[in-house]
Amino acid sequence: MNEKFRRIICSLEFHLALVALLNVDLGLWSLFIEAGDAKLNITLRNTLLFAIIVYTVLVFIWRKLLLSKFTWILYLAFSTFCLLSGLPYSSNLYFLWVYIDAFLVLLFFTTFSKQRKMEIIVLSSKILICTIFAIALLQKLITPSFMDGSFYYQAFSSGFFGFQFAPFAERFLFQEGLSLDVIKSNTEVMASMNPNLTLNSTILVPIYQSELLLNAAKFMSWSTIMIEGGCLLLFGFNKKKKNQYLNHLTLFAFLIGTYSIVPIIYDWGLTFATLGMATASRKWKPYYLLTMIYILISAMIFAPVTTALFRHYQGII
Amino acid sequence: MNQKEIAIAWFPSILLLIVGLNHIFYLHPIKGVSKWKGGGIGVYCTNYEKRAITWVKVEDKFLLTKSTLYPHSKLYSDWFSYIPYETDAILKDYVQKKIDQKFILIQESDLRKTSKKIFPNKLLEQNYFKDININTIKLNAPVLKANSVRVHIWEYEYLSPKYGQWKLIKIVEESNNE
Repeated sequence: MNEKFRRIICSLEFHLALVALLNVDLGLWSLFIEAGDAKLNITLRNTLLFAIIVYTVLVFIWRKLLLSKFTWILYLAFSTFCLLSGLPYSSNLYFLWVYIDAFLVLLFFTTFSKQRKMEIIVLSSKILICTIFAIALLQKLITPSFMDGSFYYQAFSSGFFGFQFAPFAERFLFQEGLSLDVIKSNTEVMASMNPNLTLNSTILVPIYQSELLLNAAKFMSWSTIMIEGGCLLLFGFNKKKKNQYLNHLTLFAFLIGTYSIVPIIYDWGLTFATLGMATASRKWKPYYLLTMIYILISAMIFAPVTTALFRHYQGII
Repeated sequence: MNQKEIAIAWFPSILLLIVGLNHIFYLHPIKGVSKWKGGGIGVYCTNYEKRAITWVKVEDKFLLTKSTLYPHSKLYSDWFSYIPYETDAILKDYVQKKIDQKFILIQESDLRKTSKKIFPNKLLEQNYFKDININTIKLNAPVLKANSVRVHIWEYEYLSPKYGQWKLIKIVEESNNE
């Protein structure tokens, strides 16, 4: 690979440029798509988004702006606005981006050299990957309905949260006799609820019954624990340089596995890939870029399908 | 690396830990905040546990209406609403807005003119309401106000991997005093 290209993607400016782009992406999702019913209305939210897009273009023209503390104060203000304007319903990712921007503000208030700053970013990204996986693992381990396979089983066989899983279910599980009628059945149950039910009334949901699906669900639960646990242990404790490839291969497996199934939350995937890339050597950084491109392409192809299916299932109710 | 540099590197993770553990041990178990929200990094370990369904009463008849408790998002609004978090204040505010809102009765035949969506036979057999908007105004249907609004909060319970049920955990109702 071209040496000049490698030098560019290993630079502090390149990492900061990715972070700036992800701030815009986050804003796009939070302020435009979620907030405005995908309409270009002139609101405070959309105006702020437009302003931050213009500023990001300027940052790309005058790259020295990436090294300015003002830039990161601006991005922190923007991500904080995204977070606060959605409370109490803001997604977990918005919290994470406030932490990342706050970290960069703090970093650019120091007088460390560029190389020192990059080293701190590398260490911070490693710790952050470990912390995210530690919390995510803890959440799963203390949720009995995840550990016994209920979550995956009912996700695949029902329509409660089918907008994420329906395409997966349709692609792979119809062969096992799972029909669209079964996926619909939960929404039909909800449609049958009547206004005069009393408190603590219960409605049993018809769920497709399959031993094979149950085994697949249990396998997926434990696979998730293994791969997230693997990322946590490797990024936390694998200090040998010659074994660093294990960190990256495990994170790639997580990224490709997870965001192929749930492309709609591609921005999480891009965030993980950016953190992983920061920790990678010159040899591995290009593979992170390729993974990011894969996640984006997957999102562009499958996220609209997923959204359409979600609306389809909603429409049935 | 010196201590100052290490402290800066730890900064975002410390914030994440504080908010994450607060979610795990307080916001979710005590306040009922969904694992999908609130900074707890718990997505995809459970479903969106709660849904809200809104019934609007007009002339002694309850009818289902499109609605959402998700104030900043119209994308997911429909005959029910996913709710990651609800408090009495949020619910009261929501119900009051519904009381103040005007509705339009849409007949089955009108629906087909305005929407390409697939609707189930069960709902096509009855009249129901849709929030008023430009498309429905064109229908020339009478504009109505609700006598009362009743919101049901349903919580999903996993009984076992193969069995699950909805449980009605909260009912909020307000009447129109006009």
